[in-house]
Amino acid sequence: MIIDDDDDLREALVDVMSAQGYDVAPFADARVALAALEEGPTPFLILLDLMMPGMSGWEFRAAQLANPKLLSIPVVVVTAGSMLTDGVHTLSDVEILRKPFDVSTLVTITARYAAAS
Amino acid sequence: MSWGGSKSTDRILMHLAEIGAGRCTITDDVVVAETDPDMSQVLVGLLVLHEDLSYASRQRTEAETAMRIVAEERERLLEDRRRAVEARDQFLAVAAHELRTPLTTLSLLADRLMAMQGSIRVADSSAAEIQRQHLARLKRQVERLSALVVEMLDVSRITRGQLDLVPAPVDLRDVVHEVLDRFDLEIMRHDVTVKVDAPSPVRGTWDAAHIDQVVTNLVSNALKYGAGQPIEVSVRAETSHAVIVVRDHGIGIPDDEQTKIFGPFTRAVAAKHHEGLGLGLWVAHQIVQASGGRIKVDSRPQKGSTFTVELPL
Repeated sequence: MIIDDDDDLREALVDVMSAQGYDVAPFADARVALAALEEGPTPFLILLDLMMPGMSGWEFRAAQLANPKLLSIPVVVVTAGSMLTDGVHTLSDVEILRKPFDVSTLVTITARYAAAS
Repeated sequence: MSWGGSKSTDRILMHLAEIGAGRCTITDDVVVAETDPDMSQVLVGLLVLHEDLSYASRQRTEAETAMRIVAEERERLLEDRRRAVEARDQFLAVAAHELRTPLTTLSLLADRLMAMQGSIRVADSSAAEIQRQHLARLKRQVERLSALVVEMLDVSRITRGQLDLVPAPVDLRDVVHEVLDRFDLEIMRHDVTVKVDAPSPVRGTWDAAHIDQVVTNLVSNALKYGAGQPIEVSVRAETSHAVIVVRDHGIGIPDDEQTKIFGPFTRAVAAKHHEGLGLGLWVAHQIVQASGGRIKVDSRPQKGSTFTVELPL
């Protein structure tokens, strides 16, 4: 599952993932994504943007952790923050993928979660 | 000179007291009306004294006013400067932050186009070759831009004093391995051997993300200036501190440049040959210093450079 409000980036992520043979469920709105998670199949990984209008990535993560059915789904946070402080450390148990990144980084990380699932 | 007794003395003293208070009641009329010539001379003298003192006092007031104006102007200029620096740093931070998302999209799409190229049947092979070269250039430029943007954001955060360290228990070996894993592709691209010497755990309480950045900057430099020669990275614990060493056998740094390299916007070699803003070592230095440690360099031209980071245990 990919949750990112930036249309071009989301489509690029979908293209990369699809080319790797993954089934991708893209969402521009975290609230809609959350509803889809509650209803539909469980993804092996959620790629989550942080700064989004409506429900932010932080809020999404909090809602996910509050739901026993969803809390074990691994999340990789995609952020424009740097190595230096950006508030990301307030998120627990998520891997951070810092922008900008390339296909090989994304593929490596995704493959690791796919293998673990 | 004959003094007209104590009455004259009283008059002189009265005038002196007035002059002392910045006033004077001696007028031309008073002097002309004075019948005692000695007293008349004294009065003229007192008048001159009063005028001199008044002049000096005016001069002093003027000088004080001028100094106050200068001080106010200086204060205003300092305030303007502080605001300008703040605005610049704010702009840097926003720009660096905002550039990251489009850069990621560009990077991913360039990668995808390059990957797809091989599988598309193209009638014109020379056009296909040109396309391939252009894509490779596009990708290289995106990488270059990405590196610059990363550097920009780090610098803006340091200059804005946002280097908030979040120390937590960590094994420095993990940090070093993680950094080197990230450099995998680049190490292969440079066709360089990286030897890691980290025999035992080096546990302490540091901000892992920041130390990661220090090691990243040092390894990045070693690759950049290492002239394709092997690179050695070691991590060890000594009695009071942990030591990370990154050594290359590349172009080295001349003696007179070694003291400057930890300053901002400095680079020991001509910028046109190497990418980046020349801030990597400055960033590393700032982080190490904020962590209570120190960083030093030992280098000889054409022999290579050894960067040593010491962090308190």
